[in-house]
Amino acid sequence: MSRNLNLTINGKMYEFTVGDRLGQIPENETLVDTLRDRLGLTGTKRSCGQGACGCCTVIIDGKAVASCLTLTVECEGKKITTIEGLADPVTGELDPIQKAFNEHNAFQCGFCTPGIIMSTKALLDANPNPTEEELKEALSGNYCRCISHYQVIEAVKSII
Amino acid sequence: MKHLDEALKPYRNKTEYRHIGKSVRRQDGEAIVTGKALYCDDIYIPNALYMKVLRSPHPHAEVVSIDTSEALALPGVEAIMTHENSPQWKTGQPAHRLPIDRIVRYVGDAVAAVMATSKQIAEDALELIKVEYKLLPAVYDVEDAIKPDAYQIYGEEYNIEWLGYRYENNKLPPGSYFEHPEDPPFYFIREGDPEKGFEECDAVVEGKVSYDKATFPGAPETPFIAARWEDEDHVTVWASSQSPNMMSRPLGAAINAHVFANVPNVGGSYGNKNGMGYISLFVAAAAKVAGKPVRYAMSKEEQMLVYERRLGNKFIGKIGVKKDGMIHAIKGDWLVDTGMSAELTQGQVAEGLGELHIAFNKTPHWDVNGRVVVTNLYPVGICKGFGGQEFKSCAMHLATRALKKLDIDPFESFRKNFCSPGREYYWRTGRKYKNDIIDYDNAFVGAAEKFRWHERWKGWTTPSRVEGNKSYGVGFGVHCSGDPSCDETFAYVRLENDEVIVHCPTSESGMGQRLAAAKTVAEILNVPMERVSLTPSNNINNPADFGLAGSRGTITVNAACGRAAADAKRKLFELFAPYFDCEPEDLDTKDLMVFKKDNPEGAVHWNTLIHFYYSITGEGRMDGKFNTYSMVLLFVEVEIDLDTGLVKLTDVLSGTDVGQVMSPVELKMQLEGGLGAAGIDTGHLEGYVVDPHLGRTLTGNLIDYKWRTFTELPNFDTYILSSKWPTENPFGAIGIGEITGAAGPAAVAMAIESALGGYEFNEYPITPDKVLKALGKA
Ligand code: FES
Ligand code: FES
Repeated sequence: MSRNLNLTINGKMYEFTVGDRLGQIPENETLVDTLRDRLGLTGTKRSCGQGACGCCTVIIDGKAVASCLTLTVECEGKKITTIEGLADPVTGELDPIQKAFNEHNAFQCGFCTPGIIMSTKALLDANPNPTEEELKEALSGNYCRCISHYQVIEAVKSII
Repeated sequence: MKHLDEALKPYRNKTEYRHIGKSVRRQDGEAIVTGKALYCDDIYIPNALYMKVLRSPHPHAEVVSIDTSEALALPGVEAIMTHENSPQWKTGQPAHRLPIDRIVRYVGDAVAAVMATSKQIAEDALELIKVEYKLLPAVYDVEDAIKPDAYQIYGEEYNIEWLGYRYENNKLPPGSYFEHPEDPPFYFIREGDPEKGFEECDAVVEGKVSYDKATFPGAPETPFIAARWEDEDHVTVWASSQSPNMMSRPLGAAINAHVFANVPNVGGSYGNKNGMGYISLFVAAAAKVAGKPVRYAMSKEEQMLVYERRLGNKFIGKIGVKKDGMIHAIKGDWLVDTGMSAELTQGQVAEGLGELHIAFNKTPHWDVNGRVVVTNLYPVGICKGFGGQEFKSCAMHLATRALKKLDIDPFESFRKNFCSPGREYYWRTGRKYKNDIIDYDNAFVGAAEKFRWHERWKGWTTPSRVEGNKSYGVGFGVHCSGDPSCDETFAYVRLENDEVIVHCPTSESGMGQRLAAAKTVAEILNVPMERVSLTPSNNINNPADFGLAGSRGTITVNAACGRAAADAKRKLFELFAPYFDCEPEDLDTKDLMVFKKDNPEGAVHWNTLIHFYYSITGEGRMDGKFNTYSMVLLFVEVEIDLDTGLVKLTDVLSGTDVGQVMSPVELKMQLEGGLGAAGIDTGHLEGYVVDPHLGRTLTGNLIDYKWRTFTELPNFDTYILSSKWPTENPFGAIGIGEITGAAGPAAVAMAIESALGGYEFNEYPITPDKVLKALGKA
């Protein structure tokens, strides 16, 4: 018996069935794979696959979550936002965080950037005026090997 | 190119530019912050099979039998490559490594590759492959590996030979393709008479310093290769490589085919995803066996356990110093652990020797020999710092022992010993080169002042300060590279209708070199940045270029692009001269308008004559040279918790002189990047733990391999001079990105030792357990 799975991703409703047959979502599929491989939402990056680096961060019901550690089947009925869903859906205007990152060149290779932006978004939604310490704490699960940290902090500080 | 340089002359001495030196958004900035930027694994390749690799659990063994029948029968599995059906191509320097060998030489070596319609099926099939191994003796330490009775990791039948030198006692032949064909391999510096030199010294030290823990460069995007054979002679490759040509040329030669290499955005490289020699060979072989395109994104564990690591090394030597702080004589063996294979390790030896020679440039007596040793550890590849970081972490650290004996300030000594204009230095060919003009002394002085070195350095046995249970020490290091103008670069600039298109294969892996190329062209053609675009990074739409290595992009890419822009401009004026009834020299251009210099009001748009289907193409090139070297100074402060032994980097100042600044934010971030990519932090924090008996890396994942997070950032300051060097960069710039972390480990070690009152460490990284031991608490 297959069962249905309803996900809301970036404001759009998706209906899948769960199972092992071709095209179905297996029980063990992680959200990062669903987003990237099924939906083409490749802005969410796959990197460590262990919840250590934050490259795959998405927002689920307001919280920043590692999508590589999240089973897609567990997201039934949840509201998921990925980096592709941050801009205003009607006007296309970028989120202030995205603008600030771009204006401050707050990235080098940019591979960690979507994850860092999503963690920042979750923080600012919950706490619009974080201290620098709170910001660093919120981003402590996001690795950046290029060392863009200092510029990221500048960028976020410019909008809080 | 002379006439073009004439045309570019006015740009060299300007102090204010339209684009150069300005903070400009990167062309791919919006794509990056919106998630639209495409990295290799984001690209759909029709009909591509996914590949998973079965890896050896043993450090050294022979595959006696392998049975893939059950795996092949799994629905969705389309092909399996083992040593039995793998093409017999070889990679390595000199060629020695097959895609899959009958002998596995480290824990993680490839035994079989499954190509299937999904990742999961490929993964499941691995478990169905049956392998029988016969274990062989393994060796993990360079000193053990070169003992006469050590087991030979590559047998006679591999016929490993280069320039008349053969593989012997697990030592690979010296030399690489860096040398001139008529020259001997460059693997030692012998000059003067070291024995006599030591007699003349006021302090001589002997010892062994090891920087031999494997470390992880750590690009966030794991290495990716996809390959699709178009016919017998042509293969299309998608690579997460920093340099499409550095990947495709050696690959093409190894597999005897033309490689069309595509490089989209690269998720970090730090030099580490440059050549990608073995993995590209492996995937090309798998695609050949499968008869279909194959895509392979390594997992993070694979990247950490089997992809290319930073080299490990030890220096066993003797260094003598005179009272005035001059390093007078140096002798010793530099043993380089290359793991089970070498892509360009000998080249790293050549550059490491050159880098030490630039640093100890006034030393008259040398006898230093570099040896590349094969072990049963996972293979070494390329990484920023490229031999010099590793070697100098040992050799310069040993030199500090002699400075300590004479109570000489290390900053003053290293400053005096550093190469000054007009002096010769060895570089990677083994020949000597000379820089006549670049003088970094002002940067030494200014950076030390900004860091307050002379106030904070209290001597070799006195901490900088002690507060409660925290002791603070400061350290200093300097690094340099002779690569910033190396190797050839070609570029074209096309003017069409209302746009400018730059053809150069420069990729974007984070350094902003595509931005710099666009700025250069926009500056010379005097157009807004939005009008300039670069072709995608590949080797088919673009002329040749070695790639981004050794910080060469700043000079070579911008020299070639600048000349191509000047050439296009010349042709533009030639086209318009009859129209204006004047000489080309009488014309100028701004914002895609052409006008007579004496009548700007009469300007007409380029497209007056460059119609819809019309191109003007300018060509530019730069020939490689070794007459410039880059330099980065690192001053660090560490805090040591005297109860727990925890070492924290509290303060860093990175100083340099880059000539003209191309992009200020990118420059600052390159300097800060010294903290990443197994750079500064290998002094006290980073390094794998390897089981000494089984040769297994125990910390090969991102949870166990510790590195720096947002909550652990030191105060990071920079000191940047902009002296306008007469390099071939049209504006007088020199690149520094490759070496920003390289002086770090030795500087950190110096700081820790001084914070501990002069305790001596001979091994990196200096972790809390070693500190506690020094404190007598463990
Ligand atoms: S990929 Fe999910 S945390 Fe690293
Ligand atoms: S920008 Fe490259 S890892 Fe953060």
